[in-house]
Amino acid sequence: MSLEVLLDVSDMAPPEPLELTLDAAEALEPGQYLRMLHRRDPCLLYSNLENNHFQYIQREGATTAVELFIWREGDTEAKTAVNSIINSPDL
Amino acid sequence: MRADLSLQQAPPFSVPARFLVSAPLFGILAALILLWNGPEIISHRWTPEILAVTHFLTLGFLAMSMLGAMLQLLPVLMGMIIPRPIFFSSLVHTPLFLGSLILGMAWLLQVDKLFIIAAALLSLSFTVFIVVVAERLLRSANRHVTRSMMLLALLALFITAALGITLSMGYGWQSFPLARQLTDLHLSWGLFGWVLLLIISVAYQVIPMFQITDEYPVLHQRLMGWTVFVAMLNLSMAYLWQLENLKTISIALLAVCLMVFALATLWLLHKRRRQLVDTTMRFWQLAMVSLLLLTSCWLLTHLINIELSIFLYGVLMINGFAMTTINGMMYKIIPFIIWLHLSVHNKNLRNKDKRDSQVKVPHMRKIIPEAAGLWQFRFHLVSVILLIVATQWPFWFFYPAALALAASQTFLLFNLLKAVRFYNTRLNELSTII
Repeated sequence: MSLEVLLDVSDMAPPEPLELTLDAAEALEPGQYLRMLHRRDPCLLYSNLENNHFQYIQREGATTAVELFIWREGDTEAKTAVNSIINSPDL
Repeated sequence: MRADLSLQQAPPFSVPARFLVSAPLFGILAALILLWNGPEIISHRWTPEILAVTHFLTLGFLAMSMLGAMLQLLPVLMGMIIPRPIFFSSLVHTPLFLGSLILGMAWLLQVDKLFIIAAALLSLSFTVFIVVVAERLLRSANRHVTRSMMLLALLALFITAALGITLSMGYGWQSFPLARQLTDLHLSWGLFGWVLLLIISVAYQVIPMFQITDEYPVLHQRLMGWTVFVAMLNLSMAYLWQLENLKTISIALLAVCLMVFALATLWLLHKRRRQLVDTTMRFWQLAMVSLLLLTSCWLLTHLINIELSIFLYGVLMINGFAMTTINGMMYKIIPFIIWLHLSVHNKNLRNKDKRDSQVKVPHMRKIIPEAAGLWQFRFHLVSVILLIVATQWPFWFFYPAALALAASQTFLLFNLLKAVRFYNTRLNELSTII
């Protein structure tokens, strides 16, 4: 099982990015994290993630303006995997 | 299965809906006054009937829908939460609705006291709105250029309203001097300060978001708001101290801003990532073409000394640009908030383990069917074209233009009411289940 679930919503109009991201987040298995690529800062998504007990880190993406890493609260394996990507010097 | 959606950042449906549904009522009213009075009312710019029509459109349609749209967009775009949104929106909407209506009636019936009542109501509405929203924007952590441009737009609204109230006092009280020389300043701040700045600030967010385009160039975004505002300040000085050269330079600067914004928007739409055509995009294109026509007309009058009707500029700016943009945006704002609210109500059913009872939330594009929006766009396009030609040949085109405006606004009202009805029906189904 791959740890990373990739979701590119950068060519979609609202509310598709919100719908698909919440769907994909809900489908995460233990240890998995979601890497969401978007052309804009998904303002409405953040409170929805917090309310559903997901954690996230946002940064500028390599191919899109925004890259968002999302994992379940308390999933230390997924969190460690995300941190290793975030702290990786070549990215 | 989807994680739950939250309404934390969205106002109740009735908050933007009351403003947006009210707007076309004033559009219809304006058209009926045109039809009732005939082409004589554009014989000169000071006829009471044309002043009533102008304010039904600028206050009743434009300000009404712009305030409502802001209440919907601020939480979604800027992460801002307006406290007690229903109470706040009532405090803004009711006096704005009544104030706009009474101001128009004051001109039509020539009753001086009505000007005072309208001024008091409109002061209340705008003061409450400006104070609360400006305070929220100043406290917002969001640093998008939209935030600073919205603050400039609110400042422009304040100046417009203050000038308007001063003028109203002149009409309402015989002892108060009627400062008619402020009229140009009042309408310039209203149309090129408040309306233009707000539409540009919102365009920077909603065009890339809904039309799936690239962002506007960074330099464009940084400079546009302040350039328009500085041009307006210079124009004010030129009006106050009768400085003709400064006036020409300020208007030229504004014209350049309008052209740059219009061309940039048309270019972004042309190069959009997904070549889907939707109704809102057609409205944006028409609005930008109107801006280009407006600046071209201004250039023509200055370069080759052609005399064009003052009403032509009014039609291009109010109907062609501002009403067109807002009309198009309504087809995104209303379906989006309906989709969001119904999705959240479905969530409540899931939480109560009543998944079988969930209502189907249609795709946003289906809430107001694309065909209905497209037909209304066609009516609107015809009304704009006829209004433009009616300013030059009123004898032939005045009545068809007024009829087309009435038809377009009625169609818009019909589409919005249908969406509201759709929402209420689904909500009732859910309420009985919950």
